[in-house]
Amino acid sequence: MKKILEVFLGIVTGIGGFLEAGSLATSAQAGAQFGYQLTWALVLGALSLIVLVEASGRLAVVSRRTVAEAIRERFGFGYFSLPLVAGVVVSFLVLASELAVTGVALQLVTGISYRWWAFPVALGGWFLLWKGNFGIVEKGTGLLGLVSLVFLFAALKLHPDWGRLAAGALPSAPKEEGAQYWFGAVSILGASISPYLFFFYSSGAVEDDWKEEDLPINRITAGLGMGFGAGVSIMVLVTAALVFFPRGIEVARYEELAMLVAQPFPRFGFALFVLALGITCFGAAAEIALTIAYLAAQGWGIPWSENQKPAEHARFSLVYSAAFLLAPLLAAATDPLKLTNLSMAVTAASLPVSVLPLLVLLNDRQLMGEHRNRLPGNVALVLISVMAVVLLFVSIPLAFLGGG
Amino acid sequence: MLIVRDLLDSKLRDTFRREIGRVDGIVLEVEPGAPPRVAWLEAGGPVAWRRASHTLARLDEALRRRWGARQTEPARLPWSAVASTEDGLRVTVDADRTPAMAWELWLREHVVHRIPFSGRGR
Amino acid sequence: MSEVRVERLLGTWVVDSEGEKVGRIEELLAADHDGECRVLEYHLGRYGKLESLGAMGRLGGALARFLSNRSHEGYAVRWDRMDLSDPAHPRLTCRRAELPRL
Repeated sequence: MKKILEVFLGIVTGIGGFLEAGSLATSAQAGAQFGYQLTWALVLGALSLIVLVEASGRLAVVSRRTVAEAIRERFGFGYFSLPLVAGVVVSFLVLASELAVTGVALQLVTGISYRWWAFPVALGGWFLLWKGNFGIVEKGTGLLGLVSLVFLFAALKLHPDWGRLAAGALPSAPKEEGAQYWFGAVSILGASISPYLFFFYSSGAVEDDWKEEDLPINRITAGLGMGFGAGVSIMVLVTAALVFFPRGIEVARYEELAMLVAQPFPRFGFALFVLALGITCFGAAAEIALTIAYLAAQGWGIPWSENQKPAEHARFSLVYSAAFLLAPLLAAATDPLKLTNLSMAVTAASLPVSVLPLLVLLNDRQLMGEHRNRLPGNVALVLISVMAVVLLFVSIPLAFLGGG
Repeated sequence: MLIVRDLLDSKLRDTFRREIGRVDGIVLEVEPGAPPRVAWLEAGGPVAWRRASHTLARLDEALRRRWGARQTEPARLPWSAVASTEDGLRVTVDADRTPAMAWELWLREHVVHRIPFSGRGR
Repeated sequence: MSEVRVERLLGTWVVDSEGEKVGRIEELLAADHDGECRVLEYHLGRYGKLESLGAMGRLGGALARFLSNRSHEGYAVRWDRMDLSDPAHPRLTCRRAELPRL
């Protein structure tokens, strides 16, 4: 019975925790510019994420090490410094964008600019980590994040063309604006497969003390939680395809996304949109700041746990505190949508340093024992690795050619 | 035992199973006519950064000196104090007496305890 | 008696007594002896540990490592055949041909 509850919570948290500033912006922009055509990028991103999250969870359970710890131990600090620096830099950019967009949600309600809101939002996020524990951070924000299901209902209300959506799930070449199309695809992949997600997930498996008998839960949470979560992202794309695309409206600011929900639900749509935007981005901000601390602590062998009081782990707590101190400065200084688009491209470019080691680690007999990858898992990981390397080379150039 | 695989980068815990850090460096004593001996394990300090980049190592050293953490040297643990266990290496020292914890204790006393709700006095 | 750092040895090229390149130091095999841990063998291979390579090299090395696990090429060098008087340039006291393969 307890296990069923855990599975349910895991799936629900995956759904509620999936949508955030990056996936929202990239899906909406894709839908607005290209209709259903980029659905395949979301599907590809979701499938890749499921594989990576399941793998990192399995690694954490079997080897009793998080992904960061395993990379450090197997490849040494010299190599680890690459995913460490990349992870911290990318996570910091994304954190700033989450703070900015949470500020945008508050701006929509109060009229006060997000540039001011970024600071109290950061303070709130910091307080959540300082006073709370891992369960509250992950499950609390995940459950509240279920408000993002409003996009599912909005899409249903607008009666999408399911046939064309299914067709969009298969890759196709753009008819025009090639650079923007491919940049859209790259950004979606960056938003879906953020490395912080599997660093966070494997840390969670250790925080929650998962054992080998929890491996099936790991598979279900990864598959259904991430899968349904990606479904919500697809619904964002669908609503944008139905609301913006026919009118030729291009998304230039986050505020415009309110129309996606306000149009199908004239009475409460705006309020629901604001709630969804604010809650999901705030939750993501907390998780990302925590991930920065996990990365730094785990690589150095510094004691870490969100389940302990800050005084027990001074350095760990101060890392996420420093992140919350500095990120709002960046958030206040930039345009939220531009910052998000940039951080998604950089995320996509940084994938290989985190993904390639997984390929090696999950085949390590000493670490994984009988749970090491079999052929299907390896084929999937190799394909994802190849994709990650391609993204490394194309994402930054495309950001200049096709981005905002 | 394989030194690179099993020792280097492994977690270090003290007598009370608290984490000290990771093995960032291993010092061998080499004398003619005898196999080299593992003399010391080093944790923390610029040793780790030196493996990534010399520039970063110098930066780390400069920062430590500036902010006055008690030691700029890494924790040097004699091999005689080391035992291998399931969850890493156990060292028969008290972590609080090693430079490895210098930063942790300083930050706890001077920064964290000054912030409310830090769990001070538990 | 001199001190040598393992992490500096890693990935360093080793030449034999005639100056021929043999391989990079990848691993050290040690054993407990009267409470002391002594190095018995050095394992030389093509890749060394990843830190000795540049940034992109480390990425490629990680993959190469994975692929090469299937057929590992290398040499085992007994401790008394390794001259570490200059740790940055280790030399063997024998010829490569005399070394057993891994």
